[in-house]
Order: sequence, then C-alpha cells, then structure tokens
Amino acid sequence: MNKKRDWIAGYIMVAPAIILFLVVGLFTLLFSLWMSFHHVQAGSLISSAKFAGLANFKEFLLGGDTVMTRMFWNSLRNNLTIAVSMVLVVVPVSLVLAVLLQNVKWFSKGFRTIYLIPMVTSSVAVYYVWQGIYDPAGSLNSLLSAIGLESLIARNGWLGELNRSLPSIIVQTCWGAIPATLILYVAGLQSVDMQLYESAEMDGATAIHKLLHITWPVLRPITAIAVILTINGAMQIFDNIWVMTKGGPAGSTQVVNVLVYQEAFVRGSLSVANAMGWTVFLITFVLSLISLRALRSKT
Amino acid sequence: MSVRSISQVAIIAVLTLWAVFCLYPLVWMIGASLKTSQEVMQTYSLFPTGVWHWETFVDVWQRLNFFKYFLNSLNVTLLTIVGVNLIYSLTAFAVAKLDFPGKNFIFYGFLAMMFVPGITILIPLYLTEYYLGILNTHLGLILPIINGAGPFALFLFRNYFQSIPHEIYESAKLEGSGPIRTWLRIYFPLSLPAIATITIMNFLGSWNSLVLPMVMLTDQDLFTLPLAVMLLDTGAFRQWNVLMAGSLISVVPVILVFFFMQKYYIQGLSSGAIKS
Amino acid sequence: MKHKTSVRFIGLTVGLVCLLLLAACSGGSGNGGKPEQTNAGTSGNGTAAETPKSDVKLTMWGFKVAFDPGFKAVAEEFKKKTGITVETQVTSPDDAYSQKIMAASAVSDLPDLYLYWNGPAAGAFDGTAFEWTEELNADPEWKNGFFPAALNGQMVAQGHIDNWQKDDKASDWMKQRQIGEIYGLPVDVGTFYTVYGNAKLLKEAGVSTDAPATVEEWIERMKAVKDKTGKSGLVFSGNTDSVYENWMALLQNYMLNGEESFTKLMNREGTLSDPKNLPMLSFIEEMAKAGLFPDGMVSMDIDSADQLFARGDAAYALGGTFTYANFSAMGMKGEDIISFRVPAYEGSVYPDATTVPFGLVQMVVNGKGPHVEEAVEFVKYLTSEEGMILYANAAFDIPAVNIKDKSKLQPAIEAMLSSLSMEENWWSQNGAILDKYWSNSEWRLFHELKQKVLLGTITSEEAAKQFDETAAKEKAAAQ
Repeated sequence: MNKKRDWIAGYIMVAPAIILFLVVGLFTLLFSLWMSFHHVQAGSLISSAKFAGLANFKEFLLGGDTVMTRMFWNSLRNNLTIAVSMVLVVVPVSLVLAVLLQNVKWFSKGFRTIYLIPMVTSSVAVYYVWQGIYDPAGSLNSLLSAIGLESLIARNGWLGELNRSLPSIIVQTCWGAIPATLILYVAGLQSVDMQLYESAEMDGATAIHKLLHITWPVLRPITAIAVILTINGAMQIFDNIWVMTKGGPAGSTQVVNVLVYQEAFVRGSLSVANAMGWTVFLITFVLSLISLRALRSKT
Repeated sequence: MSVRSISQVAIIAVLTLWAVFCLYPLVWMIGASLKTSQEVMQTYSLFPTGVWHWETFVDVWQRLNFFKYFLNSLNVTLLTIVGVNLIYSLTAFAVAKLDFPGKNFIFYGFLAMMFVPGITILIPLYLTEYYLGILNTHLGLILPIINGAGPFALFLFRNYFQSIPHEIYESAKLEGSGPIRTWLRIYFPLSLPAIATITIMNFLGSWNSLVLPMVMLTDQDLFTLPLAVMLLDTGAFRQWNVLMAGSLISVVPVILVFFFMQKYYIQGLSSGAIKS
Repeated sequence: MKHKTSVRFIGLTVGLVCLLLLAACSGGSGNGGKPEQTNAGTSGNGTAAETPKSDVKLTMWGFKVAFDPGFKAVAEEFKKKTGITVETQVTSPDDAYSQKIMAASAVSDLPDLYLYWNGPAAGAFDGTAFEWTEELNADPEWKNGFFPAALNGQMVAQGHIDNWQKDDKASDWMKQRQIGEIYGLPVDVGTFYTVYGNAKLLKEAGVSTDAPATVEEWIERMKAVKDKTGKSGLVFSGNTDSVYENWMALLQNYMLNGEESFTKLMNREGTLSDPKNLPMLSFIEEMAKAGLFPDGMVSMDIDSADQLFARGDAAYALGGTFTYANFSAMGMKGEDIISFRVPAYEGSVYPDATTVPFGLVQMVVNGKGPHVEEAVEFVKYLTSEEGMILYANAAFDIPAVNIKDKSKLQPAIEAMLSSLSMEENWWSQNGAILDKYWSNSEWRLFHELKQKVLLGTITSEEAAKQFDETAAKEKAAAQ
C-alpha cells in the first residue's frame, strides 16, 4: 500500500522534469538524429528529405568527401589533444592550488575570490583580450623580449604559428577552466574532518600516509568528476576557438564543434552537421565511461 | 618554525603568481575601456597613457540603452534559476528517497544528456521552438537552459539529499507527511547550500549565454545583455573601448553574486558532490 | 543559522533591487546611435493626410551595416508613395547573419525580403525565393536599366545547370532549374581584383604610383618599399578563405594562361603542379621569403587587414570596389589612395583583361510569404532609377542600375561608376566555371595549403602536389 503511494508520488515528482525534457529535449534530439540519417535541404526541410542511411557519416568518417574527412579526423585529433592536455594541466594545478590555499595562513579568501575571475568573466570580450595578448605585438611577446627570451617570440603571433596555436588555445582554455575544478577541490579539502588528521598524527602517521589514506579517498571522487567534466568540456569546446581563430591557421586549431557549426550555418549542410554532432556525442560518452571505470578501479 | 615561515613565503609567492595571471586580462579590460578605441589598437599597455575616459561607461550605459538589456538578462536568468532549483530538487528527492520502477533509468538517462553537443541541437531546437510558438521569446531561452542544466543539478541534489540522515525522512513519514510535503517542508529548505551552488553555476551559464539568444531572438528589444554587447560590435570597425566597457558592465552582476555566495557555493559542493 | 542566512540573502536582494531602480532613474532613456534598428523608415513624415494608407508591413533582413541607411532612405520614400512600411534589420557579422538565415530557412520562416550574397539561385532555398523572369519581361524599360553583367550574373546559365546535375549534394529542386531563371535582383555592383596603394608611403620610398605592368615589377616595387621604409609590401586577409583566390589568384591564372587552360584547371583536368598554374602558390612563397607580408597576416580577418593598410603599415592592400569606403571610414584621405587592377604575370595571354562589375549583393523576395505583391513592388521601386539614386547616395555603394541622370549621384560614386567598364567578356560570362571554386572541395584544402606556404612550413611544389592528389581523389569519387 505504501509502495503504491510511493510510486504515484515518485512519478508526480519526476513529471515536471520529464515533461520539460519531452517538450524541448526529446523532440530536438530525435529530430537531430533523424536529420543525420537523411539528406535535408534548408528551405523545404521535411518535404524534400531523402533517406540517406549512413551516407552522411561516410562523408566525414570514411572519405566520402576527401577534404571533409581529412578535416574531421584532424579536428578529432585536436579535440583529443585538448582533452588530454587539459586533464593533465587542470587537475594537478587545481589540486596544488587548493592544497596551497588550505595551508596558507593569510589572504586565503582573497586569493580564492581572485581565482574565480577567469570563470566569471568568460565572455567574448575576454577572448579578444587574449587575442591581444597573443598578438605579434602583444603582451606575451613583449614580456618575452623584456626578460631576454627574444628567441621564443612568435613572429606571426601565438595564434598564427602552426605549432603554437593549439597550445596557446589550450593555455587560454585551462585558464578559464581551472577555477571550477579548483573550487571543487577546495570544497573537498574543507570537508575532510580535521579530527581524522589529528588522530592519525597521534598514531604516528607520516604526511604521505595521511595523504593517501585520509585525503585521497575524499579527493578521488572529485577527481573523477573533474576529469569527466574536463573531457566533456574539451570535446565540446567552441566559443573561444570560434572567436579567436575560427579553426585556423591551416586547421591547426580546428575542432569538431567548429566544423559542425561551419557545415550547418555557413555551408548549409545540415545533414552532415548533425551526423558529426552525434558522432562526437558517442565518442565523448565512451571516453567518459572509460575514465570513470579507470578512476573507480583505483581502489 | 622558520621552516614554516619560509614555506609560507613560498606558498604565498606561488599563489600571488597565479593571482596575477588571473587578474591580468581583467585589468587590461578595465584599462582598455578607459582608453579611446584608437589607443586600444595601438598599444598593449595596461592603462591609457593620456586621458582616462571614465565617461565611456556612462556613455555605454545610457546611449546603448543598457538597462533594458540588463533587465532582459535578469528576467531570463532569474526564471531559469527558480526553474532549475524547483524542478530538479523535486526530481532528485524522488530519485533519492522513493522507489519506483524506472528510477535508475531516469537518473542515468538524464546524466547522459550532459554529453550532447549544444551546437548540433541548435537547428532542431529552433524548429521545435518554432512549432511551439516560443521562438523569439524569453521563454524560448529559459526552457532549453533549464533542460540543459538538469543533469548536473539532478546529480548534485540527489547526492545532497542522500547525505541527509535518513531518519529525518522516516520521522516525517511517521508523522503522516507524504513525500511531496516532506520535500517541500523539510528537504528543500535544508538544501540551501546545494541551491546556492546550483544558483551560482546557472547564473553564470545563463547570464553569459550567447549562441542560444543569438539564434532564437530576432526582436532586438528582447536581447540579453551579453548579446547586446556583442552586437554593438558592428560597423566598419570595432570600437574596442565600448566593447570592453560593455562587457565589464555585464560582468558586474555575476561578480557580485559570486562574491556573496562563495561560501555557500563551497558548502553546497562539499556536501553535495563530495559526500557521495 | 538558517534564519540568519536567509535574512542576509533577502537583504542583499533588496539592496540590489534598490540599486537597480536608482540606476534606472538616471539612465537608459537614450535611443539613438544603435546600429541595429527596428524602426521603419518612416521617421519624419509630415504629410500624413496625403499618404496612402496601407496596413502592410514588410520585414527586410540585411547583413551590412553600412548599406542600411540606403535601404531606409528608399523605404521612407516608398512609404510616402504607397503607405507600405518596410522595416529593416541588420545582423552582423556575416556568419551571424548566415546562421540566422539558415535557421529561418530551416523552419521556412524567412522574412518578406532579405539580402543575400550574389549568385544564381543562391539564397533561393529550394524554391522559397520569388522568381523574376515574368516581372522583368513585363517591363523592358526597367529590365534594361540594370547593368547587363549585373543582371546576367544572377541568372541561371547552362554551366550552372551542368554543375548542379553532377553534384549529388544538390537538391532535386536545384537540378530542375532552367536557363535564365533569376531568383534575386542585384542591388549593387562592384568587382574584386583591386589593389589599393598608399600613395604617401610609395612616394616616401621613391616608388612610382601608377599601375605596375607586371607582377614581377610589382614585387620589385614592394621590395623597394621594404628597404626604404621597413613597411610591408602587401596585406590581405590570411584567415578568410577565398580572399586571395577569388579576389586575385584565379583572375591572374586566367590572364596568364587563357580561358582553355583555366577551365581545365577548374575542371580537374589540369594540375596545380603544372608550371603554368604553380604561380598561384609560388607567388605567396616568394613574397613570404622576401618578408613582404606583415607578420601575423595568416590570422588576420578582412577588417584587420584593411586596418593595417589604413594605418600605413603596408604599401598595398587587396580588395574590391567596396573596400574604398572602408578605408575612408578608417580615416585615409582620398588623395593618399591609389588603385589599379591586380597585375598580370609577365608573358600573360591576356595582360589587359578588363574587370566587368558584377552584382555583389542581391535582394531576394520570399515567394512563399504573405505579402509577395507588396515585396515585389518595393524591390521594383528600389531598383528603379529613383530608388537606386536614393540608395547609392545614402549607402555609399555603386548601384546595379545604370543611372541616366548621373548628376544626382554623389561625386565619389559617380566617379567610381564611370571608371567601370560595362562590356562583357569571357570572364564575366563564365561565372559557372568560377563557381567551381566553391563546389570543388579541394579548394578548401587550398586555403590551408596557402596558409602553410605563407608560414613557410611547406614549399609551393609540395603544396601543389597535395592539392593535385586530393583533386584526383575527388574526381575519381565523383565518377
């Protein structure tokens, strides 16, 4: 009897979220999926659609369109590079900063507030500022020559040299992404019961022992979340690249979402754009599952 | 003890370095908004060498009718936040405390939605909204943003509820309170830290959202603030100082919210995300 | 604890709201200066009693802020004559506009009128656009008012039909097009292929300010400028595809090799590695090696490149007739700007090819909209002599109609108009072959290769080889 009541209540409570999803979520998803399996033309979308099977996917995955395939795999490679780099940078740096904040005696709240700034000011204007920093005549080059490292200057700008454009984008993205992870770690560290540390010390535990057996168990799930969110963010990166380089030069900063946007809105190939989007979804999903497993099994 | 203070100095040095790295672009933006547009393009110095044009801010605020766009952004963001908090804490409670078929499917299904790339959905979403008649309305922005915020909000709320001792639920049940009432009277108010976290995260996301308003809104009167700032960037060539000033103005509310809610944000995260 | 924090929170909110109210009282009342306007072109209409009434309101979308005053001027007069209101909306930059149009077309919710980039059936969206043949033939005087090249450039030709038939991405509707169909009327004309020079800088370097006879001579001059003043020789947008190719390189190839060879190249029967065609890439290589391009050009968009030239940091810039207005807006003085057609290589077959102006921007009527008749009427007025004079003067753009009474035009526009040749030639009549630049995907690769050559990471021979390989693959796939 109670169970039935639970059921009804459960469904009622879940209803608003589900209805919202059905209204703006489900139809959109299904339609997007449908478009990836058909050839659609803007202007007469449904009426002139022709079933295309896997043709759209073949276009960019298997060489249906040589150039687009080349660009897609290049983009994917860039996305993965960004994902790996970001995980390797954002997670450790955030952790170190969080630990430092925990152990500093003064100004910790002040530092913390300042560290939130990159996250808070994420807007087109900030991307322009970074473009300025990376400009041939910009702050970074000026700084390098000021401290005598002139040989490292990027003549065409840090966004204009083939081997420096992607790293520069990665640095800027990390700059903006670290605050979120940092705060996660700060929260985590603060949630550790101080008594546990004290009792461990009384038992004669070393710093490393404390780290591994008290701190890390708390930090591990945070790290898992952080890694997954970072990977997801890297696979979906768009705003800053679109404003700063549009994927150039020569495709060195080309990422999948930029390609999808170009296909959909500049070239009008809605079908292929949707197909690409779903492919990215699959890849991101699989990557996340893999990282989740990897982090979980670290018992 | 002296080792302690040396390491303190070292720690502070590192922290300061990072702080400078965080602050530099913001300070540059402030400096740029005080220069003239020409000056911005010519040098990359932090502050104007000549006159400091404070009037740009006032000019931007008044001439470009910022208050209207500010209200638009506020409207969209506030309604989004209320929606996210209500809908997903309700859902999360059900998933956390009740047992019904399909519960796990719903929970993990929502989580999976997080991975769908936003750009791909844009055109189908446009179509959906067109048929629903909510294109070019604020509602047309609010609904998809709420839906998009769902996965993480659901996750956070559920974990938060699970961290609250189950006895509270049991005793409420004994007193004859149904699940919905229990949620409303007890759990929702208790989850203030989680609400704060969700509020802050979604305030940021909704306020700075650019692509969605750009595609869905055609009526200029409905534009949100960041969109208005970006579209000021038209004409033969950009007026950098105006763009920077405008962006700074649109960032101020977010900074305020963050500053005041920081403490709760962290609290909410620690209880919600960590203790799972 | 709970209570205190909620009270504090409420207090904060109340405080913020008060601040906002205060702010509202002090500002937010200005209305002018907005680049995007949703007001109809009806401001300042005095003769209300004599204006014919109409409830019809048309919406027109555009993508160039500079042209909007022109359309508004025409809309104002149009309202006086007919009572029909035309409301203009500008969305900039180009890709924001493209996105908006694409989204609207996806749901078949395009406005009554919209500007689009030129090209036969471009922006027709599978038959949504209104077709003009009947209207044009019904009014020969109006039809003949257009510059022939401008109008013809918008018409479907055999070459286009051939292209669409072969393209499996083209829709059924596209494949059914007939010769002569026209889905948008040209609003303005102009050409690319223009090199602008900074007369002041050139004089300083002791270099002549008239047009160089060949590319080789031009390069020598640029070297002289670099030696004497340290400034770059040539600037153009390196991160926009099609600027170098479409505004300069393709024409130069045609001039160098003649129409047969050029057509072969575009049809994938010739190769880029062929010494006849290699200059397209080796020019960039040579210039880059001599340091004649500004640093970071590879990342510059069109505006940045124009700004660099306007600042005096480059001797020459690549552009079109429309670029002149940009330079003036950026503060360059007329007497400091010289211009000439892109130079031809030495030994060219057609070193003196003239560039015939073509329609740059077209106005499309939504044939499936609720007010097709009124929209058509507006466009007819816009493209009449009277309308075009109003437009050209307010938008500072060259009209697509051959104005008979040139005295009514602003002197600068009148001068530009007179300098354009209207006689058609092979180049102007074979737009379909040029269009292969857009439909053959190896040219997308060309853009990236060109950037790599510019940065010096590959040689032009190596780039040409990659291009040819891809072209061959595409050709094989198409069969």
